[in-house]
This record gives sequence, C-alpha cells and structure tokens, in this order.
Amino acid sequence: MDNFNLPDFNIDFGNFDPQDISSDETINAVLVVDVSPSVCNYVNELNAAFKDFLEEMQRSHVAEKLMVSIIEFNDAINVRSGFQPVNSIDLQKINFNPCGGGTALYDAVLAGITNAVNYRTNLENSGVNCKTLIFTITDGEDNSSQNPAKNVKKLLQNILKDEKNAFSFETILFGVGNDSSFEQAQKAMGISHLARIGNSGKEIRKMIGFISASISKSSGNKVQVVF
Amino acid sequence: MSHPDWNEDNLYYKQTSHAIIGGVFDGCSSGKDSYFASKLFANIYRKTLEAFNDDVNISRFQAIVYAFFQNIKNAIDAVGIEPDETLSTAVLFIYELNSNNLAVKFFGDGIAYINNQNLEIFNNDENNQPDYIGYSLTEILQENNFQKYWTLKKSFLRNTRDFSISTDGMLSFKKRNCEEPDFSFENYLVQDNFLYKNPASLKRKLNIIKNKGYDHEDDFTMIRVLILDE
Repeated sequence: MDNFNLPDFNIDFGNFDPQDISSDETINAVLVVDVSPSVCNYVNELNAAFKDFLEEMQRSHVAEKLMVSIIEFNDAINVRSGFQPVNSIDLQKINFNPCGGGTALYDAVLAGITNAVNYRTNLENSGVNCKTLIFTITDGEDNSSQNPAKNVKKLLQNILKDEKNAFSFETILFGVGNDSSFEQAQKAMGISHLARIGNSGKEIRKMIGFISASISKSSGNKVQVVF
Repeated sequence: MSHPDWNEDNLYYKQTSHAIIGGVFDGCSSGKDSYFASKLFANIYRKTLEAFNDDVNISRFQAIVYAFFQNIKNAIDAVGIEPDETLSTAVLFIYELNSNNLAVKFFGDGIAYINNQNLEIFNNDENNQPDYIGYSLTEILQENNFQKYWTLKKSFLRNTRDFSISTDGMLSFKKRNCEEPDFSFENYLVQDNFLYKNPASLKRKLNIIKNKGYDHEDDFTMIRVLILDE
C-alpha cells in the first residue's frame, strides 16, 4: 500500500511479526467495539456471541490465515489485541466491560483502519497478500473524538483509490439499537456498509454470524460482506 | 474442457534419512487434461518411491526411474488412460545428504540451478516439443531400450548445498509494469535466502516479484533445497 499520511495515535498495537506468518496470504479482520456505558443493555449477549465467534473461527478452514485485531472504545481507545493469529487469541481474556463516559467512534475507527493499513503494508512488503475487513459495532453517536469523521472518509477514499484495494478492503458499521445517527455516521466516515441490528440476544448473535460469514467468504478471490 | 485457472504443473518431494528425492512435472498445454497428466506423474512417482522405502541413493536412480515408468504403464493399462492424457515432462533429482551429491535427469523441458560460488544453470530446452514419455512408453520399457533411452536423456551430477529444480515456467516471467526498476527475479528465487525457514518462503517471494511488476505467463513450479549449517 502507498503512504496515506496516516495519523500517529502513539499506540503500540503489538501486531504479530510478519516474518513468522507461514502463509502467503492473510485475512485481516479488525473489530472496533463500543464499550461505552450504554452497551450494558446487551453486553452479556455480545460477550457470549463474541466467544462463540472466536471459537468458530479457530475451528474454521480460514483459521490458518486469519489475523484478528480487537479495539474497544468509550471516550478513549483501548487496544485489546493487535493483529494476532486467531488461534492464539485467549477466549477467556476477551470480555467487554461497559465503562467510561463517552463515545469516541471516529477516533476508534480511524485507529483501527490506520493499524490495518500499516500492518497490511508490512505484510505486502514481505510477500503476504492481504484482504482486510473492518467491522465496527456501536450503539450511539460520536461525542468524544478528537478527529472529525471526514478524516476517516478521506483515508478510506485514498485506500480505495488504489485499484488493488478495491476488492480486498471492506468496511461495515453495525448499528445496535434504534439510534437514528447510524446512517449519518456511516456516510460521514465513508464506511461502505451499514447494518442495523436490534439489541436482543438473537440479534447480536445474528450480527456475529454476519461477521463470521463475511470472513469465511473472503477466503475466495475477493473480500465479501455478508448480511 | 479444462478449467483455465488450473495449474498444469505439479511436484513431489520427500526427505529420507539419507536423501532428498523429488521432481517437477509440467503437463503439456496441447495435451488433454494436462493438469491430470502432471498430477498423475507426481502421484505415481510418490508411489514408486514408497516401494523403495528409505533405500534411495544416486546409484539406484536409474532403477527408480525404470520402476516409475513401469508404474505409469501399469496405471495406463489399469484404467485405460489415453496417450494424450499422459503428456507431462518430468525433471527428477536425487540429493544425497551425506555426500551433498546431486543427480538430475530431464525428461522434457526444465531448468536446474546450482548455487555454488557461481550460479550454474542447466536449461534443458526441447522447444516445448519434448519427446513425451507417454508417447513411447511401451517401446522404452521393452528389453534393452530403457538403457539406451536413459543414456540419451540429459542429466548432470554436481556437489552442492543449494540447488533449485524448476519447470520452464521460470522462463515465462515478463515485466508488466515498466515504471518499476528492473529486478533479477531468477536470482532472487534461486539464490536469496529470504525467510528460508518459512514454509511459505517461495510463495512469498513470488508475491514480492509480482509486486515489483513481474508475472509469469506459463504455469511455474520450483523446488529449492538449501542445506545450512545451524
């Protein structure tokens, strides 16, 4: 990938060393997860479904080439995991706890994309072809970011200008609940897809099912978002 | 009709306690289902070597190849494979781990690289019109004919710790992006030790070559053996 003048969040993501990847292609999935206090309505369902998702991915045919990064946010960004092979993620350690006092949605998405682009560049330079999927899960409007949504949009536009990224880089926003701001946030950030999801256990499991299916389908020639 | 994306090349290799033995196989594009011919050869070579257990060395190379040809004939007779379904080249090698001696035999187009102090290249070019084994297998296996056939086929012996065996797809690389600087992809593949311990090393090198603006027009398969002092 080219140099996109990426912002520096001064975060050590702790990504897996590209030299140790024993594959010539990877699927890089980023999960940007809202943990602001309002998600307490569905956090139990989310944690259960998320563990099921990781377990399913660890057993799947794509496990050997699936790298997962998990970023949570409230008014601040917290990297739970940089890109790591899905098989190495400890299910017991991934548990989301609602806390904080705001929603830095744009900052978190920007940080997730920035790390994805940096890692992808490193992988490509060492001979690994990548497909990148950015999944963002939120239940509300941004009220804490230092970066405006247009910074995300500009970055995504630059990424997708490059022909080889057109079929290998996808973004999707899952809006949980009834907040009317999801569409505006999706458009303002230039995220390709929006899926509205209820906050019942069934709906949360459905959302996680979409993520699993998108990752599995992306093991073909191009990234595919399924919902 | 063959699928346009099927690779018509194949390969097989195994390491025993004393040797590394293997080969690359290139199905003839004008043959019938050529991906099948090269895969058939690779599987029969594997099966042939199983019968020799670990008792593999250069002095037995001719006997191994004779058994390989005999097994191809048996397979053809058993399931009624037509001659034009068996059109594949075979570049076969035996490498002795104790002596570091390598023997290579060409049955059709292919290339071998010996990376000693200087890079030595053996290009067996039969202009893509090789005398395919499948055309004359019955005659080759008749009494006294195999010895003659074996002698006629190009071969070489070398002492080395670093060699590569490739189908002629190596010669089909073209520069697609003229804006990228020239790059010696051949030397990169057969001499550079990038990620040599990584099982994906050669595939990742190929991706890097493609990122540098080169791509191969013909199917391409190679085996590299690199012996390093740890």
